[in-house]
Amino acid sequence: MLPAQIYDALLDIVGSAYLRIEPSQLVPYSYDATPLFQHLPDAVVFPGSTDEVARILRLCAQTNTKIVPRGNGSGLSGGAVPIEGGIVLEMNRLHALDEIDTANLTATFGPGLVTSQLSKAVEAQGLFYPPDPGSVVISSLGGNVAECAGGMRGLKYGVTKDYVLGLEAVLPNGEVIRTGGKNTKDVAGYDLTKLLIGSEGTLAVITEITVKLLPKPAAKQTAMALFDTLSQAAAAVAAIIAGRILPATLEFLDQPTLKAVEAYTHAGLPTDVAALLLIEQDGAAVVVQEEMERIAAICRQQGAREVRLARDAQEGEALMSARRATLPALSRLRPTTILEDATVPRAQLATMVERINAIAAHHGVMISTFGHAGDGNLHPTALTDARNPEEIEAVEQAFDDIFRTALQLGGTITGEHGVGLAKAAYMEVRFGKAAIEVMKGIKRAFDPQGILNPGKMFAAQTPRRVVVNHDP
Amino acid sequence: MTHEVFSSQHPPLAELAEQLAYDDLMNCMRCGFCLPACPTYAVTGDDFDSPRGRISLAKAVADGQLSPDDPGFAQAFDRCIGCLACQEVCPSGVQYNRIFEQARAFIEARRTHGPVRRLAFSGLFLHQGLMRTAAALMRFYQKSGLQALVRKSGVLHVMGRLGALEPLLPKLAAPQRMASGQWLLPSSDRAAHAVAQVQRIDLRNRRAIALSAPARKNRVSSTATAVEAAQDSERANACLRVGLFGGCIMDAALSVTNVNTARLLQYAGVAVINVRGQACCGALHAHNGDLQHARELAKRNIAAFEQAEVDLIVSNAGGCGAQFFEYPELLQDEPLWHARACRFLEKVVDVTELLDRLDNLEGLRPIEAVVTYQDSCHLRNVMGVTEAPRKLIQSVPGVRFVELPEAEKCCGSGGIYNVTQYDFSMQVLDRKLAFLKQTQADYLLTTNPGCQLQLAYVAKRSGLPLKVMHIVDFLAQALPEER
Repeated sequence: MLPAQIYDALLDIVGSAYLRIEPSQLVPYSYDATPLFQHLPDAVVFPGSTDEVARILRLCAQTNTKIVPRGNGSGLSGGAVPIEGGIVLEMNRLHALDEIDTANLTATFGPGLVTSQLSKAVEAQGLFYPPDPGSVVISSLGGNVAECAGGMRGLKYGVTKDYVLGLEAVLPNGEVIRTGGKNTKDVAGYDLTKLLIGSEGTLAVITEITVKLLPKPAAKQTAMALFDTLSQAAAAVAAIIAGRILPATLEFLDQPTLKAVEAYTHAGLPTDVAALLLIEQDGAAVVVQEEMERIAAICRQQGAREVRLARDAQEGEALMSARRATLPALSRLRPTTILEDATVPRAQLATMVERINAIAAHHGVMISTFGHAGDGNLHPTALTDARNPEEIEAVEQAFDDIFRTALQLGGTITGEHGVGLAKAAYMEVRFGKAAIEVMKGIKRAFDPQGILNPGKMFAAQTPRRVVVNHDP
Repeated sequence: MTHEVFSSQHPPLAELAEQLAYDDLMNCMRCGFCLPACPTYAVTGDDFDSPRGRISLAKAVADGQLSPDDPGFAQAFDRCIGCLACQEVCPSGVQYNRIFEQARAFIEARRTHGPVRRLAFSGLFLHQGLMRTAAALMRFYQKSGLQALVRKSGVLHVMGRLGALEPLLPKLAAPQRMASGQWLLPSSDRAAHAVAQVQRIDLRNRRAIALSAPARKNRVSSTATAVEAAQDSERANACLRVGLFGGCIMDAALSVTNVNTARLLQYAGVAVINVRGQACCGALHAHNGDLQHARELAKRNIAAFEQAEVDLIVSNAGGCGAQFFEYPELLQDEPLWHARACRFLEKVVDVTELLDRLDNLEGLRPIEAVVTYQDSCHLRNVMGVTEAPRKLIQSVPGVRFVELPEAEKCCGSGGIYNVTQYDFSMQVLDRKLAFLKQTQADYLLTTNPGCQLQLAYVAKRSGLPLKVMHIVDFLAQALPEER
């Protein structure tokens, strides 16, 4: 519960229509899409302008009130969970697409705009915004920037940070700053744009975003390849890239995932193969055709049991549907689905998947792995039940082993979901004390009071996941 | 912070969990994929009005974090239209329908105050004019046994809203009706085609048995008494035998649609009977928390259609057809009834789906018009019928079909939702209106009476020159003169 004068001041700023304080109104803002983390906020506000955001933050600084920015709550690291209570700052009213600049190839919009809506709007003008996190239909672009969202096109096109040119943001003291702009080249000063991307709402609240756009590729083609061993699939990935081809998409499904997908879709996928690769290339039609044929040949050389090359867009869609069905197929197996994103250099792909399978067997838990083979960005996914504390403990231990293995292989604890609450305990293992101190210094420079998205990124101790938090 | 407002009158948590479909609540990953599909979230942009938010509230109650009597909990579920678009897009297959119905039943059971008082003060009986304009709907309420429920849910104090719907209701005088228990028979050549079509096609697995349509020469009709009826029944045995589910609101207010349904089916080569002894499907009861009456109605319908010995059960209202999908679960505690419900469901088909599969409507007269279509949520999200209505519309010569943007999104009718949640319903509708204007259509067709009334209301209110019709009534206009 906040002091009465804070509710009163919030009422002055946003009005009664955009302030929520009743328990039933707060429950839907006590979580995001990350399993097992939950905590009630004391208020939810829906600001309608940068000015309102600034006034709210000034109020928070004056009264030392904690505040957590939130997009649409589709994040997978607990970044939007108000773990220490306080105010949830729901940004989805700021969803205007202000401009598509076809001369400079940029788009400028509010942080509440949904990713797929931006994609659709720019594609209608023959342009292309490549980052496509799995939650594009609902994720907000503010959330994408805060978490540096990735997606299936990382290998060829990069991730969110490769597209953001400029930001408007409000500092925890209420000051409004502008970083970057529409310039392709801009080396003036420290790059605050890049610093804010992936800062997980711990440094400032993003209120406007400018991204660069690409011309929309003219053609696209899809192929699927099936392998009897993981090492063959990994060798095929390496050989494609060594062959100087960068596919737009290079996705991987392991055998447990494949079995779940086939049980769910009955699409006729063989379940006795060790791995499936889905490959998409885009670009000029002639180039796409030629490269896809080379990719198919490389897969066969590496021992693929079967390679299917889609003849048209419809067949391509049918092949990609196996990848799209992974999450639905897996999440139906058990009540709780924990989707992680341990990442390794792509040459370590096969080793990592084999180690994950061994770790899952050792702890007696169900883990399926799929992901972005071209990036080495894997999604080991545990199927479990939050109501069974012993099983959850075993899952935690398995993930602990998985993250440590990824680090041993020269990888990282999170490829695209962010640190938030879920990975905070591993930050020091990942970076060592000195680097963490630099990061904490940056945090202090932006937010000396520590009011903005507290409890994220830096763990006070090394906690495991907690099953639902309530203050007494 | 917690909100421990429990006292001895609250059931223990285990019981709450049971009552609130806890297993289904646990299956929600909170991913938010349901948000873009939800018509109420589209209005407010507040997770409180999203499926994910509603599930979180039910779970908070079951977990003891929120009082079961918290008014916000009831409000969240009252505001849900029940369109089930969320269920269609859910990656983890959460059975939202079950969560919704159990939560509504739970909430209704705890609403102990006020029904009599509300009734007394509702002012209904003070307004004779209102009574007359509401007569058709009232007849439906009485006939369906909804009256008690409606009183309980506090709808009467908004009875004034029905005045707004008045111009939409067909004249009450001399409604066209199809006689109960009599066969409407097709011409023999068309019947042969229909039988061939049905044997060739595979509608769905669940109906495979019904559609194998074996010869029925030996079947003895147990209901027909008159010689003539027996002869008709004999002739009907040679055809595909289809029982028409009339539905209570259809029967009370839109009975012409039932007649047109039968005429179209007859034209398409099947024998149609308006099955005796059928009742309201029970959807409104179930969605408003009255599961006991929903069960009774389900049993009456199952028994009536068994008696009629039909091959298929045709529904012309998405809401009713979808409710039939609930029968097996509704009756799961009574093994024999459950088995009978499963057999009943195997035969259920929407009129548009059957007409499309029969592919036997050649010879329709042209209608020169621009036509658009609004999906019935339950036809789309529960029965899975999306293409058949669109194909049928385009099968009429002269028609130019225009797809309505967001046709898949609910119009806000939701059974009696537009009466109980009038203001919210109108906000949902405003969004729909903007898209309707874009289409510049002459006709807007639907497949559910609730949607039809709601959309006719918006067309009239906004002065759009748009004829709102049930798809069956539109198609019937194109039928050749009776031969």
